[in-house]
This record gives sequence, structure tokens and C-alpha cells, in this order.
Amino acid sequence: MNKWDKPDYQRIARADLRGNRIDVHFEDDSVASLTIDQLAPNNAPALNWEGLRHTPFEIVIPTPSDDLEIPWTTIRTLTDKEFSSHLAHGAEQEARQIGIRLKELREARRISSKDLAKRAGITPQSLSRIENARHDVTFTTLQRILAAMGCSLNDLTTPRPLIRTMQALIRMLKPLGFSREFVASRLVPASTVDTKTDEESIVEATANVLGSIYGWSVPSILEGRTLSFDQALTAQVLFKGLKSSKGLRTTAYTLYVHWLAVQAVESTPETHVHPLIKDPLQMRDKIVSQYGGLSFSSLLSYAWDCGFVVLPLADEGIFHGACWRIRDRVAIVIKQKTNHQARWLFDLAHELAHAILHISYTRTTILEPDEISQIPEGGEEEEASDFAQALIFHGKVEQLAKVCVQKAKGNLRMLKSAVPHVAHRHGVPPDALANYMAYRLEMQNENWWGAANNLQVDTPSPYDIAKKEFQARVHLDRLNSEERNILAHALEATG
Amino acid sequence: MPRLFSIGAFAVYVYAERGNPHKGAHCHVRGKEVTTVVSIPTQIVLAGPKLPKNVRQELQARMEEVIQGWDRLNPIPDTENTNE
Repeated sequence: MNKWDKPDYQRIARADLRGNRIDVHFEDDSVASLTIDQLAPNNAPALNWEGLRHTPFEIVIPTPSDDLEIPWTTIRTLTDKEFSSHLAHGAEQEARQIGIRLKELREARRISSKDLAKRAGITPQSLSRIENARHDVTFTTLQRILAAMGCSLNDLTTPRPLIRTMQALIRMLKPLGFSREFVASRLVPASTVDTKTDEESIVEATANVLGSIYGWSVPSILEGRTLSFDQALTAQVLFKGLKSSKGLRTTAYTLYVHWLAVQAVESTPETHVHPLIKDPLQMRDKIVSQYGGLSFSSLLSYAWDCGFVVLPLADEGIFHGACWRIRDRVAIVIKQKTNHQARWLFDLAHELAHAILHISYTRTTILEPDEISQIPEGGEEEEASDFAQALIFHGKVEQLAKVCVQKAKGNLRMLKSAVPHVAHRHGVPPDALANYMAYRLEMQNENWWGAANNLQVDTPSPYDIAKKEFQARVHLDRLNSEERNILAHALEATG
Repeated sequence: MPRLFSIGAFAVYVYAERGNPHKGAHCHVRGKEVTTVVSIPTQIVLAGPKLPKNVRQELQARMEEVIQGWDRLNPIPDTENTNE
């Protein structure tokens, strides 16, 4: 629950005039102090400030003809940036819902935007701006547009929803690739799960979340209309990164993660502490000198300090990592179920290489449909893994592998003690070197993963490290409460 | 008076948003202890608890009145370019 949902935040306990200021005391013990100029601009009628009084939800100033009532929302908006920002986001959401809905109603009636604009007496440009929520529409114009389609204000909302249960909602979403688990774990607002919210309200709250992420209007979801993904956005977000075998399930999930990445970028201030370094050895030197060593944690801090946004997710399947160019930033998504720090270190180094070497204004998407391999063959994947290996192993991974084999005298049993010894001597992470040796041996049909797993470091959990860093870097107050809640929900580990 | 009408134990208000940079049209649905602020006309809840279903339905049915009340207190020139 947000503070503005509580009575104490809204209710006024006292209002005092002090010179040209008014102090408004709320029941939550906060005091909003405003000048009378803030409350009454030049065109306000003559106000008798001496006659100031209050009710629980407003302050009242007498005028010669009538009373001027100023509600608690105005007082809070002028003195509480968080609330002001929340209301501004609410207005954007309203404009978006109206725009999406008008477009849906127009398309359902097969009316071209040019025709509708003509019928409503506005220019096609104005209609386009209204449909795309880039223009506040006045009620007169809104009603003209609705009337031109034979619609009324009621058509903007859902008077009789057909989708009232979670079962019905999931059944409707299933052909679009939404699994029950995905909807339940990520899209049903967390605030409705632990409370005694009735099912219809949970469905409505989930429809709001779906509307925000996928650009559907809430009425169209609750009316059970045929929904589809935005084709242009899907093409941009998925590019050719994923095979179609996973089909719509991939699209639904990837659009969701991309939406999270957009919110993460929008809520992160732009910081470029370090200029970009394209050479992995120079990058390593920089990290070692400035962060005291190379680890998952230090590479993560370095990536953020270079201006990248790193979003960690613990969901299983669909894809294993992603890079998206979003506006002028690059968001990196790392997605692992394992708690091994070396695995997260390699994946982050690999994605960082993509972000630096491959993402551009024209190439805005890289998705990893398969587990990120230490030794891929060819193309960008090989280039990114080579970069990661050079960064982690100081450009001498093959040499280190040979030293390990020599130290173990070619005996697999002795390799377990040889790897940490060689790693420490050469200043590289032993767990990462163990993984590399296991990959190498797997290519020779030797399974050394048991020993390699025993050398892994898993505390603190890399997911927790990345989540903590994310939470420290992003300014969630830049998002509205719904966006904030969806993002927070995404970061919760599933059972 | 900014009070427009009642719906059972709730009363619907709109205010002249003087001095308040517009954050979008909204109305206040005042209960006994707490107010729910909802956007006009799609009824997105901006503050306060969710309204009971019957109140939302009645508010929707009388949305024209709410809009008229808002426009009367917050007149804005029609800025869309008309063809007329």
C-alpha cells in the first residue's frame, strides 16, 4: 500500500496562517508549508486568508462570493515530489489507456484514422497524437471522436467484463504463450496475493499489469477480445535471436523482460564514470587497479560505472542472457538459475563483450537462446566468449590449462588440487578456471564437472549481489507505483 | 461547492485545480475516513482504496456529469486543431 492510500496521509488535522505562509498539519504528523502565492495564482478571486479553515480533506478560504476549497491532493502535490510524480504518471497512464482504447475501437469498426479525424473534426495528426498518448485530449474532443464512431464514454471502460476469474484470464492468454506459472509468479500483482482481495479485483489488477507491459487496453482484456503482440516491437525486441520453435511463449516472456529493461533504464541516472575500453586486458587492469581484483562483484560495479544497466533475473528457461540498446543506453540481462559466482562472472563478461563490441544504433538486440558456452564456435558468440576468457584469465587461458595438466601430471584426480594452486599463483579465479577445465575435458569426453562443482564459490549468492547492486543504482521513485511493483516482483526469486 | 453527487455513503467531488499544475482530470470519491481519487473518465485509482463495484458502476453511469463538473471548474481551451 502506498502512503497516499492511507487516511493519515490524506486527512488534515490543522491549518495555520503564518504571515504569507500556510502550514497544513496532516494526521500522519507531517506538515506541508506553502506560500499563499502557491495556492492562489494571479487570476484567483480576492481571498480572505484570515478566514482560513479546514475540513478533514480540504482547506477552505472565503471569498466575497463563495468559498475556495483546496483539496489535500493539491497541497500534497505542491509539497511532496513523490506524490506529484505519482499523479503525473497516473495522468500518462490515463492518456495511454484512452489512446489505446480509441485505436482499438476505431480498428474494430474498420475506420481509417484519416476518416475518423475528418468525422470528428480534427486533423489526422491530432488523432495520431491522441492515439499514441502524446497529447492531452480535452473531453470535448474525446466525446467528438467517440461519437464519430458511434461510441460513448462507457466504451472507454468495461461495463460488463467477461473475464472475471483467473482461470478465464489464463485460458484467454494461453494461445498467446502465457503459462499459468508465468502469470501467477510475475504478472499477478504481489500486493493482491497476500491480502484478502477478491478474485475479480485480482483479475482486474493483473489486466492493468498486462496493459502496461503489452500495450493492451484493460477493457479489451476484460472483455476477452482477441489480443496480439505489437509486431514492430516484437521484431525489434526479438530480432533473430530466438528460434521460432519456442514460439509465442518466447515472445510473451521476452517482451516482458524487455519492458523491465526499459523501466530499469528509465529509472537509472546516466553515469559514465569510466570511458569504454574495448580491449579485455586493459579492462582487466583497470578493474584490478580500481576495484581491488576481478570478481563477479567488481565486474558488476565496473559495468554499472561504465553506464550499463544490469538486470539480474532468476527465472528458468526461454533465454539465458540479453543485451538491448534502449534509447542511448545498453541494458544487459543476466539470467541464471545456478548460484555459482564463476558462472555469473563468465555470463556477465560475455554479455558485456556483446554490449561493447556488437550492439550499435542499427543492431539493438542480442539474445542468448542457449546456455552461454565457454567455447562456442564462430561468429559473435565466439568473439564474446574469447573476450570473457581474456578478461577473466588475463589472456592466457590455454597456457593456464596446460600448467594445470602438467601440475596434475596428467592425472584427473590430482587436477582438483592443481587448479586452485595454479589459479592463485596466476591471480585468476579458481572457480572460473575449474569451469574452463571441465569444459575442456568435456570436449575430450571426460566428465570432470563433479570436481569443478566442488571448487565453486556460491556465497554470497551472485543473484543477491546483482540484485543489491541493481537496487542501489536504480531510482525507483522515477517510476509510478505500478511500474515499481512489477519491477520489484520480477526481482523476487521463485521457489 | 465542489460536491457533485452522492452514491450511497460516498460523495463525489471535483475541484478547481488552482495553483496545481494539472496532473490530469480526476475526481475525489469521499468515504467516511478516506478518499479515493480516480482519473476521469477511465477511473484509474490514483490514491486511496479501491472503490466498491456498485460505486464504480454508478460513477461510470454518471461520468458525463463528472466531466461537466470538471470542465466547469477547470476550463481549458480546445487545443486540438479542428478542420472546421
